[in-house]
Amino acid sequence: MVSNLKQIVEYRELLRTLVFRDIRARYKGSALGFAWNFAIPLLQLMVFWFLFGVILGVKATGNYPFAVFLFTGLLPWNFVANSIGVGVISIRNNANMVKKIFFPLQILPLATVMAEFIALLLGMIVLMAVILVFKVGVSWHILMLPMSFLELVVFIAGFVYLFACANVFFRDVGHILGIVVMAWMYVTPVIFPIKTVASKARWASMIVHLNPMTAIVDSFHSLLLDHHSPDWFWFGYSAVAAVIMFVIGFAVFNHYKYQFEEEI
Amino acid sequence: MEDVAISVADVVKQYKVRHQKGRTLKEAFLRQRIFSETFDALNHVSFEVPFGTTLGFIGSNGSGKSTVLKLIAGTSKPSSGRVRVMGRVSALLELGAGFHPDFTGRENVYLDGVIMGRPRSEIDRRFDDIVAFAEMEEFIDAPAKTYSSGMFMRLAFSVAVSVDPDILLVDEVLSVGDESFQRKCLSRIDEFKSQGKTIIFVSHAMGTVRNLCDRVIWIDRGVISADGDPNEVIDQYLTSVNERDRQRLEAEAGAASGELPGPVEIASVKLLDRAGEEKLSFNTGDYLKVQVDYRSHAPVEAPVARMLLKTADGILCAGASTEMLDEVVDRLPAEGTVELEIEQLPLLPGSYNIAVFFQNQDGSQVYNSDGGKYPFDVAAGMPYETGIIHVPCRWLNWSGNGK
Repeated sequence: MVSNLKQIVEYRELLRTLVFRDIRARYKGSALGFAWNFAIPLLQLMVFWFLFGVILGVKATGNYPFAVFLFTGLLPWNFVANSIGVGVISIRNNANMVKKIFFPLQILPLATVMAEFIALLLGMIVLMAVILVFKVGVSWHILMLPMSFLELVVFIAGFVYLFACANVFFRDVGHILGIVVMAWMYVTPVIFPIKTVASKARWASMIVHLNPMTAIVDSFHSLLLDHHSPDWFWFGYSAVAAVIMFVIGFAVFNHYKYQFEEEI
Repeated sequence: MEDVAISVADVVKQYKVRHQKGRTLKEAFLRQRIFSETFDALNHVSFEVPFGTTLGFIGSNGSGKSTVLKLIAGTSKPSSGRVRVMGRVSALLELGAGFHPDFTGRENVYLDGVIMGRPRSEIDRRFDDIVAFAEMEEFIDAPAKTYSSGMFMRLAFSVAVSVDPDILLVDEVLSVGDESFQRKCLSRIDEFKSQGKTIIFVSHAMGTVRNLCDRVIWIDRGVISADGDPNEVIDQYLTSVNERDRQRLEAEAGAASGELPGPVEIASVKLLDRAGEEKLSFNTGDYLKVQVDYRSHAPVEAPVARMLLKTADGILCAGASTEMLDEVVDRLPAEGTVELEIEQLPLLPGSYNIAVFFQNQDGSQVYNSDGGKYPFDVAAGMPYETGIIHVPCRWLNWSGNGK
């Protein structure tokens, strides 16, 4: 485990290069280019504002429009969905490199997760602008946001490691995960505030709370919009879950990585 | 032990045999047992390579040569046994594996270089050399997808050889690019050699292997068949290839018996030097005699014997037929020999084949079913000449004395 982590540090230049390759390749050749990183979240926000604000007229739960709430939760969720979508196929997508060049393979899934994380940070810039425009206000709680980022990245990196490995041996994994991620979003407080599940059936509420992503996504809401600390119990629960996920995913990946070359 | 760069000890590499790569969950659960079939790509292979050796691997396709390179490069682990490699390895296995078509040549040089484990600062330092070697100065800022495959390979090769490895692995990559680029690559490899680097070279170009390597290992179906002096090992290999081809042709002829077997059978084709020794490797300008023993099973009227000389890639270099002779053979004897003598072989180094046919006068009918290809090599040639054939020539007025 430790030596496999050390290898990542040793090959950090490769990691950095792959991260930038992913980011730059994404919008290369398009007219807006890098600006897409900002344009996409903005367009998303406009769609939500039109759908929930204008058409459905959903009432705000705090002193901000519902579209802002949605947008705040969707940024981390986009990170989750995209990291899983791209990360799980990262070994197969780089078959040429895996077969022919010797390097620590644990770099590949991590590079896609890091690239998605940078996209998330760019989205956060848009979110900060939105928060200013809608006069939501900013408090010192925003300083705790790096903890949310850390839990998010560690958990998702572990998840991606586990299933990137599984996808090498079983191609179904990639397809199944597409559905799983969609369902997963509905048990995460992305399109509904966490408060609303308290009034629902106890088992439903339990499922939502036991989902490690819940406390992480909700911490974005509380730190950025509602200006209070996250629920420490569940936030700590997610931290433990993230570490366990990472240890398992990373260990499984490294155990099987020498067989990848034969399988892809 | 200190002077050993690579040590491969009793290595077995097994692959699971499977008709389709990547299983689905359903297959994994329902048909577990079909994956228990295995194939030994390498079967108890051992060898050691001292520092500074240029070692060549030869063998037919699928014999396990590339598996050996993968094990040395570290992209694959042995199923049992041990592989030890001392020093920095650079593998010219898959050129441009790190290239991205949307990026410019410049960006790809960095990308590919870093993927192959080179620090950016080193690529910075060598960037101009890399581009100059690839002859890509004009196009370096164009996206790689606009490159021709030749340009792409040149740039990739240039990145790959810009390293300073202790051990260089080369797998058939020299077949890329035009003649002049190939020459440049070979001279770069020569340079590595003179710097005392260890080079592992896999190729089907026997002439190149002969010229470049200090030692050759012939791998046949996962087992080392011969290991030692390049000329001896290559001759053994070529003899076995010829023998196998002959058996295959005989088997085919046997299987197709009744169906146009051809009235003439070629019993043997021998390539002889002036002393009458059978050889498979010649030098440019050498004497060469092709001796064909044949048997005729049915009367053949007014036959013509024809020999074609082709490169291994199938380019026809020369052909001659017995029509050159004034005398005409009315009827082929039941058993006989025909010989073709070449006083000075005009071929430059490379791999060549000789094909032998017995035909009727206008060439519309071939009497032998096993025209076959009899391979041989031209090893050493004329320095400073390129191409297939040696053309006697000389230079005039080089110093520019014409006012």
